[in-house]
Amino acid sequence: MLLFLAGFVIIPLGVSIFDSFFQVSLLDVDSREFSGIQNYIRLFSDKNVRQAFLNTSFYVVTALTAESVLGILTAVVLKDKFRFRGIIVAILILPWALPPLVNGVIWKLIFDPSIGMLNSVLMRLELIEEPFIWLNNPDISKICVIIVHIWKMLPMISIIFMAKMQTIPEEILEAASLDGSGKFKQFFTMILPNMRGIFLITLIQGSIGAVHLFDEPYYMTGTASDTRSLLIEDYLIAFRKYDLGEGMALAMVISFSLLIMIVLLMILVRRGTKDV
Amino acid sequence: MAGCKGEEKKETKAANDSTQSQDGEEITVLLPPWYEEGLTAAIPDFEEKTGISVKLEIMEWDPLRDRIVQSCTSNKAPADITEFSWDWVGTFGAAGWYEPLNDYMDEDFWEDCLTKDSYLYEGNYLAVPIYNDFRMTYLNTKDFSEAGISEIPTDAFELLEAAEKIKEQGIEEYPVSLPLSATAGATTPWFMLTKSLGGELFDDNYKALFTEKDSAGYQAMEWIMKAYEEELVNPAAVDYQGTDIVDHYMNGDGSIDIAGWSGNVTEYFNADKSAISDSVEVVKVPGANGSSRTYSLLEGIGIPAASEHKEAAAEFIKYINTEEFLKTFFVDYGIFPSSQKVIDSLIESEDIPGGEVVSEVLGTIEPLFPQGAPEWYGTWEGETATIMNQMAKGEMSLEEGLKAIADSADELNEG
Repeated sequence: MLLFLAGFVIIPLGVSIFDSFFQVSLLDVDSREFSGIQNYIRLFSDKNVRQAFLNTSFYVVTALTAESVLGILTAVVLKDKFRFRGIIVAILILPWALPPLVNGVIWKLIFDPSIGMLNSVLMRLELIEEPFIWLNNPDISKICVIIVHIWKMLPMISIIFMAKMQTIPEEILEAASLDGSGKFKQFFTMILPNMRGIFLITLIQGSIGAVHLFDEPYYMTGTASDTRSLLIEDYLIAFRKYDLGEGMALAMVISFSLLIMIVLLMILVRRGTKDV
Repeated sequence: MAGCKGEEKKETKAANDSTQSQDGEEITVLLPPWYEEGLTAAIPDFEEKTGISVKLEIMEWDPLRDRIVQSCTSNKAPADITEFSWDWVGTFGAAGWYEPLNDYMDEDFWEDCLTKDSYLYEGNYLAVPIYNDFRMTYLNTKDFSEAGISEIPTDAFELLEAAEKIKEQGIEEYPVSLPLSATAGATTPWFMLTKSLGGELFDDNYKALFTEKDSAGYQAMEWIMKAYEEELVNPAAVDYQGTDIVDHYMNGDGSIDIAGWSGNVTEYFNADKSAISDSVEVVKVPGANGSSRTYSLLEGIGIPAASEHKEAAAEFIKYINTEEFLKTFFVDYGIFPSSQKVIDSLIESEDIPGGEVVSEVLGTIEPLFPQGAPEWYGTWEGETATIMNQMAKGEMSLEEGLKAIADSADELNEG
């Protein structure tokens, strides 16, 4: 196990950290020059990186909020047995099973201003008079991207919540009903407190998913600055500017930011569990 | 021929290997979408003749370039044959990612090839030109005559006024067709108009020449952004790549394809594919003071040095460079050849619609960078496309955008 960890985690991580302090060109990876923290200084003074950081922060906050709220609601609806539940769950899982690039292709077509389904439906319903630009409209482009991401992540989050809800003994809920506790009260006093532990898993999954956003914004809007994620920016630095050193530095910043975020979430959720 | 002049005509690798059979080998070919139809039709014949099977992989331009870079940096061949754009020569040549092709093709081939020197790196040809892509302007003459414009303007700004007239009269809602998404294709109309208006992008030291108001680069960008602001260009252009523009124009959307591909000369005139075949006309790129210039975006195909099927790959390259195939490739699929012999033959047989104009345009082609393409061109082109996309979306003014583009070049130039 230790060998596995060393080979696949510790050594690659060490090499990446090491490289981030060097000037390394992708075109000649064997020649490198020590540059100290220059790569990091350049990163923090780069307005494209700052914009990508803001975009990714938006993606993380909106994705975690929407996935948690909608995930719980979907799980509540699906937790009890009803006709066609199995088929509905199977259909629900489809977006999650799609590769992110395919997801991007589908939604790019849906959002297409000329032939897209969304404009066509809205115009038929007379909600808009002329085709609307969705993906390259700075006011809503980020929202479009995150909707597509949430659409993909929601099934998995919902199923995790649903699985946890189904572990709550039916007898307890029935006893609460007999005591006059309504569904609404049961949800807030019995179901939700039981979900706190599982929240940690879904929040971590959601954070990783949102920070790792790449295919959807890249395919739907190219390298547009208003939707460019940190991962796209990192990719552009490493593979378009061929600056592997700075690319590694940004990869380190992304990884450690994610690590800090996960630790904070763990502290928050644990504190919440203790309060209960 | 720079690479072979003065040398004794030597037996080529191709000839040496002709006795060796690659029967049963499989090669992969990685190219952008505009080659798909033509190659898919030709592959069965090649497979039957040589016994080599071909797997064609098609990718959009930007991801395709990324895939090549990713694979080559890890010493893996992205495919046995890949796209090779004119502007990759310096970067890919310095990295040693591609196999020199001098000896794979015979001397007659190189002598006949008009654009081969674009692929010369330290005496080696890193690719074989396959698409002599240069830009021309296409007009839907029906829209012009309906608007009462009898004489097509040759001046870029007069052409813009003509577009305004077409729009005002309700003939075409968005008369000017050009892409403005944050992808490489968005830069082409700007580069082309800069040349056509008589200017250059950079001086000999790669200092930007487009930030002054009276410069051709400034005026060219102003032309594009004005067209977008006045909705002479479809507002959805911020979502569109170059290929989307071709599809829309061919369907009859738009009066002016300002920076149309040379190969579209067959696509647009083909009644089976185009809704404007009876009214489209090709003209020289509109410029200023009666002058016109354009530039070439030559595409080639190369063999990655890490390929394990170089000989079989070379067989395929030879096959698609036969005179017969190049003619079909142009006439049926719009891939403009680099072979002088084939171009002469196509003009003689009147297979190039608007052949006289095309011949004239061929004479106005100039390199985008007379001082030599900088190694950072690809990166800068991507940055420029992103900034143009921001300018179109109102996130940057014309001045701010051009300054940002100039700053980006300065930064890359300083390394």
